[in-house]
Amino acid sequence: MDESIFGKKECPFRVPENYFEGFEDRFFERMKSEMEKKDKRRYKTVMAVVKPWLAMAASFLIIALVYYNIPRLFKGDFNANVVRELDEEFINSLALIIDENEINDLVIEEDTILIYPTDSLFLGSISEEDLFAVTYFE
Amino acid sequence: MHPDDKEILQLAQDSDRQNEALVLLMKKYKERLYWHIRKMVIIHEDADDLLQNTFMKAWKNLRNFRGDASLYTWLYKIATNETLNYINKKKESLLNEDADMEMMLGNMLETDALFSGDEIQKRLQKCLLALPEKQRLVFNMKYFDDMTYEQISQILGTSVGALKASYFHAVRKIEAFIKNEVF
Repeated sequence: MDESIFGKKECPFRVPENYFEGFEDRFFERMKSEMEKKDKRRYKTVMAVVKPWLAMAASFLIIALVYYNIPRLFKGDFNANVVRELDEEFINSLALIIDENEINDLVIEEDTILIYPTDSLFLGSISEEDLFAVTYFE
Repeated sequence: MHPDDKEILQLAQDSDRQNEALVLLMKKYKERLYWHIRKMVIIHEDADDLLQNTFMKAWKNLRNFRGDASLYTWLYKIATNETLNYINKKKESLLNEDADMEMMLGNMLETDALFSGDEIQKRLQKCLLALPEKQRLVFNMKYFDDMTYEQISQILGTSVGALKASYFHAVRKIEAFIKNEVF
């Protein structure tokens, strides 16, 4: 091959100073950082697989919680109805033994302290059983 | 003095000493492989990246190396494949940007501080950039690396006859470029 046409056979390129000397160190540094990146990618992949299952488990948990709490909510309402019925019975029973004015004094709002008139038959506290007993004997 | 390929391969079989084998492999072949890649991609940074990729692949597959070919041929094959894949990808991306790789690298030769050739060498490089990759590869391996057709055939997996034809065409084209002062 004619070197006068194609030029000298030697390679016309150069490398930066100490390029070959430091090559192994640079290579291992890069390998280390790529391994770290790969580990991160693997973690992301695992999360991508696990995430839908976690979401599904969470929804089942929510459904279970709602399912077990709904009867309790209804139960609470049921008790309130029972209390309301007992209140009405109490007032009706009182109506049999005391006059209207006394009833007005007694019909007070829920959760307030009962203060009876001084001439009331019910000075002091009265239990439901006592009240029913009174109603019965009258 | 570099260790024998067999010694390197024996070391590579021991998982505790695999890195040691890789260091020996790099010390022995890095320069030859670098120049092989550099002549194809022109830019030093690209050649450096591709050389590292080559050794990365070699490291991953070193334990499975069956020894059908020599270690040198095997590494050359990896480096060549890496380089050709890179060039194809780069050409594709430049095509999308409406740019031309041949022109871009040709211009780079004018300003590259790491190009130390004279005017004739620069012209030859520009002519080579105008050739198809395979012809350029064959020309580089034959002209610059003084490899035999049999050696090139083992690396590129092409018949000796086809390689001779490739080289012949490459030489004819370069001569025509120079004669017509295309570059």
